Order: sequence, then C-alpha cells, then structure tokens
Amino acid sequence: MPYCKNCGTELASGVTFCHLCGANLSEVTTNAPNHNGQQRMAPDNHLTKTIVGMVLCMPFALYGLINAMKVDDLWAQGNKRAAMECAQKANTWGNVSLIMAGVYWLFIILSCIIMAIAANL
Amino acid sequence: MSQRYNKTIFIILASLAFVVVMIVYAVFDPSDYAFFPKCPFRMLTGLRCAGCGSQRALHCLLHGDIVGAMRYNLLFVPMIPYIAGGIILHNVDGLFKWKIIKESQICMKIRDSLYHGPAVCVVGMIILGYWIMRMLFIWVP
Repeated sequence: MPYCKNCGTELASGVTFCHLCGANLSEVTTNAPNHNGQQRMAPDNHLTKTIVGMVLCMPFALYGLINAMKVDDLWAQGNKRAAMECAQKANTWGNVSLIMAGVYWLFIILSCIIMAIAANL
Repeated sequence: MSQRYNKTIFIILASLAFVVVMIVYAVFDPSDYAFFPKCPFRMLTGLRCAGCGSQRALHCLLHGDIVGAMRYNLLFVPMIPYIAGGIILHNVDGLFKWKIIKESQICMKIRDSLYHGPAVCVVGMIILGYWIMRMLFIWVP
C-alpha cells in the first residue's frame, strides 16, 4: 500500500491527492514512510487567525482556538489523522469568525448610515 | 502573471482599507460615537469577552496612550506584535526576496518556538484564563 509522503497516512492505490492533508501524491513512496521525523512537519495550527477572531469579539473563534491548541500535541503523539482534523477545524472556525466579524461590521455601518439618512429626511 | 497581478491589487486594496480604518479609529473615540459595532457576546449575555475594549484600546494606542490601551483591554497591546510576527513568519517565502532570510534557520526556529508546540497551549490558556477572569471580576481591565 502507498503512504502519503507528507502526513504518512495509508492510501488507496491510484489516488493523486491525499484525502487527509491534500498533498500532491505524484511522488508517493511505495514503502512505509521513513520515521526520522525530519521531512514530515506538523500542519499549520492557524493560531493567529483564531486569535484575531477572538479580538474581533467572535466567540466561535474559541472553538478554533481550542482545536489549534490540540494540533501539535496530537501530532507529537503520532495521532496524525486527529491532528489534521483539528488543524482543519481551527482553520474553518477561524475563517467563520473572520467572515462573521466582517458581515457584522458591514451590517452595523450600513444600518447607521441608513438611520442617519432617515433622521435627516 | 495574472495571479501576481491579482495579488498586487489585493495588497493595495487591503492596505488602503487598513489606512482608512486606522484613520477612523484615530479620529473618532469609540466611547463617544454610536456607529462603532458593539460586541455581540456582551449584548446577549452582559458579560465581557476576551476581545471587548479592543476598539477603545486601538483609539488610545493610535494616540500613543499605551497605559490607556492596557486599561481597556490587557491583552490587546501584547497581541499586536505577536499576531503581526506570526503572519510575517508564516509567509517568509512570499514576503522576502533575499535568500538569506528565506533559507535562514533562525526564522524557522523562532516560528516553531513561538507559534507551535507548547507555546500554543500557553497562549490559548492565557486567552481563556483572561476571558474567565473578565467574566468573574469587574476589576480586571
């Protein structure tokens, strides 16, 4: 069975992208990955994104932050699938909080402009 | 080529929006004007979240009043260099042309020690702890 060169997941033969980390598998190793720990890096934990979400008063970012805290721990334990999933959740919830903050800010600014126009009529 | 062009446009628009937002926060004090967005968590529960006070803190900071900024939100001032550093260190390849910076191990080491591993848990715990302290005690800034 081939293994993903990036995260070490066992893959079905013939796939071109890793289903877990999304790495391009044009150079899939046919044997088990080497365990020197040098080549495979932990996924990005998106910590800064979730902190920005927290600063923007978006409580959903907390879920992303908790997931970001788990990524490196799980990776160090060898639980790569769970680490990838946590990284993905941190990214998703960080993005959700940023987008929600943007929508909320636009909504407030637009409603203030409309109120100001209505008051002057 | 077109991707590079899009990136340039995005950077120009983003920096323009940044400058406009900074001018708005420098000129208007969020304590005095109603058009600044209020924290949704605070409106619903009446409790302060970890980010409350950031707008007033930003206004103070833009006027050079660091102590005043700390009084509105204790974590806001230290978080600015932390987040800026994180964004720069995670995009070293895209931001810098020089190979000395691109291939230097120091950048990687700083990044790994500040934004990965145990540091993540420490930062997360500080933010969570700050939020809980703010909810429990009114005297926490």
